[in-house]
Amino acid sequence: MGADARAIRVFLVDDHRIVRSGVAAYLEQVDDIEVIGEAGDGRQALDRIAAGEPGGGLPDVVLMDLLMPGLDGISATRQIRTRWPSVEVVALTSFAEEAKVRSALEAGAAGYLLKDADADDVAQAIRAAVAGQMHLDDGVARLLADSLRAPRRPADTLTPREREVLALVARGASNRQIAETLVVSERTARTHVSAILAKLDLVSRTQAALWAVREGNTSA
Amino acid sequence: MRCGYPREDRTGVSPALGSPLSAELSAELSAELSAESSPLADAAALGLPALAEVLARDEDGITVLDAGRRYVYANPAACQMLGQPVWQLHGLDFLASFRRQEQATVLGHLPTKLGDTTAPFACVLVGPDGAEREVECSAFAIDMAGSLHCVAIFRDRTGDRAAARTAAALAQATAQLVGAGTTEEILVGISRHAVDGTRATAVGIVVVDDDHKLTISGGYGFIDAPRSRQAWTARSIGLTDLPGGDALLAGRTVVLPNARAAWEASPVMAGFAATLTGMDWQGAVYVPLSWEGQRLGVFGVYLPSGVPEPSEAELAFYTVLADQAAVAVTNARLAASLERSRLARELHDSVSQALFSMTMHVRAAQLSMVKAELDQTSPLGSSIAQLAELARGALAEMRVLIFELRPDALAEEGLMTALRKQGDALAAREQVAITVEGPEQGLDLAVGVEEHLYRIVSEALHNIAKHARGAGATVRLTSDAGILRVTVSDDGAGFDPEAGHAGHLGLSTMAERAATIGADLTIDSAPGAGTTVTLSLPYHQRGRPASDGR
Repeated sequence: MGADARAIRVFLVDDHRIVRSGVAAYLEQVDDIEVIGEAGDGRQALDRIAAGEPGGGLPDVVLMDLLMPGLDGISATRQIRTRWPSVEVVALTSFAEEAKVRSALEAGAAGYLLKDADADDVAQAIRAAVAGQMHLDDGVARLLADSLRAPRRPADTLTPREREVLALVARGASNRQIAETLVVSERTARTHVSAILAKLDLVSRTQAALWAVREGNTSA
Repeated sequence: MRCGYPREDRTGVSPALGSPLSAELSAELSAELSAESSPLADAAALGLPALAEVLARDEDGITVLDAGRRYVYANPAACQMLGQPVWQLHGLDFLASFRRQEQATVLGHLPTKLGDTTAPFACVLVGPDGAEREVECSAFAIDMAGSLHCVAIFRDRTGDRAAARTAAALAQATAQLVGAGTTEEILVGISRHAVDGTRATAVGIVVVDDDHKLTISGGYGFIDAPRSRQAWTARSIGLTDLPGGDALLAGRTVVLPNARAAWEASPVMAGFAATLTGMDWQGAVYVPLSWEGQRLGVFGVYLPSGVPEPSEAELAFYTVLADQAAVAVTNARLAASLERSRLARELHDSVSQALFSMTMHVRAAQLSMVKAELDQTSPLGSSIAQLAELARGALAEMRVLIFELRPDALAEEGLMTALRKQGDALAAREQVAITVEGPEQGLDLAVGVEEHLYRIVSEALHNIAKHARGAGATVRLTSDAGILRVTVSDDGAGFDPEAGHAGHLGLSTMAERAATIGADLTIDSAPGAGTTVTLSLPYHQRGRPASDGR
């Protein structure tokens, strides 16, 4: 990375102090990532992130445990994504149940890692989140692929325009970004996304993105 | 203790009839009985209002038999118990009021000479309509008009009394459940209720595990309980080994009037039967111990000779007690499973988190070595690499342990995930490359079936780790043409399946599990040629529900 590039700012949330210390010790050694703060539960995380905001101290990525006392990781993820859309959240948890994964992704998480990941996977997921990509643990990806097995609705039922939109969705683009890229109104972008979901019989953008990745529909 | 109520005072069977009737009265009674008249009027006519009152009101059934065992008199309670009015009873054979198979026993209890008094014994009266009534009978001989007569007294053991007894036993059994006793103590207590309250010689409750093998037991009335238990476990007697085992597994109660002869002739049961040689028993009753359709074990009743079958009331009583035993066992299992869940949570909260943190610290150490330009192949570098490897392996092991400790883990995460975890842990521990391949979509298998498949594959993988000494193994699940096929193959040493050491490899357990879920298990192996375990079972993938998020 260039000398002037800013390191990725990461905030750690986990109720296990030893996990925070381990992850922090590792990220300390990773040049392009810095840990700017940590919290032991969701509520504390929101408070501390809010406290850092005025000085321009928002994190780029929050590494979020899901199962915590008080405000759990999924609710905290939803609130962070609502309040600070620029902040990405990567879930780091011990559980791979489908329901948890779905809730986390639907709450807006940009990645899902299990706590038996290799250390370098953690750094990789953080970088991916900042780049607008989704990083999933292998097992989690399998689980989702399973749950998303769509009926055989070939991608060619989509119009060329819709395929373009889908490729953008797969890269994590918002409706506004889609509108800007394709030079259409935001309303039109939203209509395209709705049409895609209806055609593919999916319910969320996340599912559409995963579908696109699986079907190789990621470049327009 | 075979008969009688320990809680009741049995002295003086009936105060009014405690001493022989005078000859005069007897003659009068006898003369009056041929006419259709009420016993009250009979006795009142005799100028004995006090006796008349006693006879009419006594809730015990009182009958008088002549020397040929024919009824000459019955009080209202006896008539009610026998289901016939006195004029119909008159002249009938006393023995005809009992079940055919009990008649010899009853006969043996009847007094043969003056002064004979028999202790109360339990028996079952059969009415003209076939209705059965469990009673306790006692009898003594009297002289009436110069000939030997017999007074037989019935005390009702069904109806209100039986209900009271059941309630009392239940209250006690329930109190025991709440009490701090071990499951085994509770089972012994329940067995004791059953023996004390019925004609049973002994009662044994056997609880089995998933393989239908005995895990805990409790009994009462056995002459050498430890030896009997040992004989049972030594042959690893399963529910299916019992005569009538299939019916038991289907949840039905089995009554075997000649269980003793059947057991002594059965190779599996003979050892156990031998420990009961000195005990008075002939028939047996098995009541399944069930909870939510699952067979937890069996409630076994051993009946004395002369009582080949239990009465309906006894059977009902056994069923209620068997249900109580099932509750006790389920309680204990629930407690154990809660304890396992707690343990899983603790392990997850402490050890797993620490191990994950360790992998992070180790990686941090490696990165800082790079920055300090230290040689990764130095002793320090290789020690750290070793630490990384160990931490990763320990983490994989923990995941399997936690997975296996959580009762619902398999249902939540599915068979493929479970098998991958198992494979990862073994791969880390035993340095064997284990590949797990299968359909990514969830399998439509009942949890019970998944559980057995998981255990069979785990066992096969452990065999590979322990014995095969190969470099790799593959677990493969495929479903095709209505058959789900699971193969576990390795490139290891192999063995001769005919060589008789198969039992040591857990193959019999695997085969039993396979049989339980209706699967075929085949093992292909030869020395030096690796081993392939193949499991096939009928399988049809249902359509996934639309609510599943497509």
